[in-house]
Amino acid sequence: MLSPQGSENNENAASWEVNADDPHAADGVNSAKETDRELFIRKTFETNPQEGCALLFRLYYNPLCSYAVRFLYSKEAAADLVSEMFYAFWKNRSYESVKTSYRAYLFKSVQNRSYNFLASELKNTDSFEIMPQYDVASSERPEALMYFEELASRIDRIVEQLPPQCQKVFLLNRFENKKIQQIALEMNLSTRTVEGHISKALVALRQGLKDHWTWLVAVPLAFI
Amino acid sequence: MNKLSVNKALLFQYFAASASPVQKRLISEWLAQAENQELYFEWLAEWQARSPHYLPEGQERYEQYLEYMRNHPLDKLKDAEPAQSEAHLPGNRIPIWRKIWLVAASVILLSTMGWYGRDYVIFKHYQTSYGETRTVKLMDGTQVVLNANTTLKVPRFGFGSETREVKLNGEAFFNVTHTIDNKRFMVKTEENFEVMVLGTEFSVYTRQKGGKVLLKKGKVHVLFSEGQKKKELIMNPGDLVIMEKTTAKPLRKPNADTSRLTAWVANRFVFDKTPLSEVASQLQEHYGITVQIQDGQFASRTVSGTFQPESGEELLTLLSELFDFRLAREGEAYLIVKKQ
Repeated sequence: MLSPQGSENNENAASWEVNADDPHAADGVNSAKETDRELFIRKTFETNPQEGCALLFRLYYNPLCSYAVRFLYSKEAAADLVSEMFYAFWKNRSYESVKTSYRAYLFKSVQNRSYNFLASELKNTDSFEIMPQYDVASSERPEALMYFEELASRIDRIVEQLPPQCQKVFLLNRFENKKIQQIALEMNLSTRTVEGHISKALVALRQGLKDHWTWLVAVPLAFI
Repeated sequence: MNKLSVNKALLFQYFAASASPVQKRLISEWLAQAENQELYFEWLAEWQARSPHYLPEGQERYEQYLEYMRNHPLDKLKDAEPAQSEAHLPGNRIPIWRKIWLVAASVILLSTMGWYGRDYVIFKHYQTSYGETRTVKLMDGTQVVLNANTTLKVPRFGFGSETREVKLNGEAFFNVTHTIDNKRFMVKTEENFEVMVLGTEFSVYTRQKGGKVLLKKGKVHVLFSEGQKKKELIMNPGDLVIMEKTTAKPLRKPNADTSRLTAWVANRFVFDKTPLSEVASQLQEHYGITVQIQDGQFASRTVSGTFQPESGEELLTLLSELFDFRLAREGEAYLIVKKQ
């Protein structure tokens, strides 16, 4: 016989997935769903901002980290950066002043913070101004928005062109956050060699991105 | 009129660093409009989520975030220190204290639910285990009977203004209600097809083997893609449409035996000259048990009749008596062998 109406599903069984959207849907269909979702989140902020922030975290933490890691090449740094952004989002009540979608706001914030992070990391002896952290960006110039991808591709290319050992060491240290000792052991090299590879990679990055510094500095200015 | 328009596919190419300078120029022009900037981030979020460069451990960070918010409640001054002061609230501030407690309670609830990612925020999951069938009633009145080992994803926050959409993995029988505004009902699958209806009774089967749609009452459109092209097949009552994994084109069989094919809704197996190999396959799908026909002579033997077994084993035992074979075990699997 037919079993009785199903009760609340036990959600503890399954593992979490990353993606909810349907590859077959036409561009327009997903947009309608997205608008509904953003509206729901906005409503949640009106009554319970903590839940709103928690919701945004659960929705966007993963894609934001993936986004940042393309730029920063470090899992730790990306995760820290995104976390810090969410902390500031709550503490400064930034959710009250979001004019665009929360998603657009959060991605743009990650962009800004990533620029600042990278700039401060790669600064050389002739130091330049580090821009203060901006989390708000109203309407952007298209070039500013697209700049992130440009820079990410450039970084990819620089890393690709590193000699194989150097590249491997760099990724283990930078992306996987492994210590120099660990890498030396894994790859059967001396710690001096490992250190040498890492600084070689950093020099290559600094050189390769050098002519972008003025751009890098100029871009955040557009956000005021 | 610009023939080459900026769409999601192009942006996805762009994010994967495969866009040409001309295409980038187009995107740049397109981005000049504010609403396109929104679309840009919508598609960026989707691309990032779909092709992640790594999966960060959200669970721990999420819980840390919840704790941070708990310790830095907004009722305080922005730069004040957290937690300690709550204990010293004077008597007439009790309402605020209660408010904090309420917020803490709902936050704890969120964190015990755990980190399940976007999918669980947006969708409610109904799931049956092997050997289980379950009836579920959706918020629009639609009744769905889930067969064994089936998952149905339903939007948690209501169906929205456009179409009613659910996602199915497994087998289910739908009794879809008509809405006043004639909202369509869509069943999406992980396979290459989806089913669109107005209000009707039908079943959808979507498992590893392939897909099947059986229409009992009403009218249904099956949408599928053939290579690059999107196609549509309109079904009539009694039609059975089969989509094998191996063939691209769906096969339509009119005048299907709808009551036999939906017998599972009442927990019955109806066989009509069904070969034993097919029965073994159904046992796998319904109960999750592996049956191997070791002796070839049994594979093509057919069975007819209606069974309402308590378990897969019971059905197997019945069959062994019917066909006079021996049932053996090898680890988890059941073997059908000749009697010595």
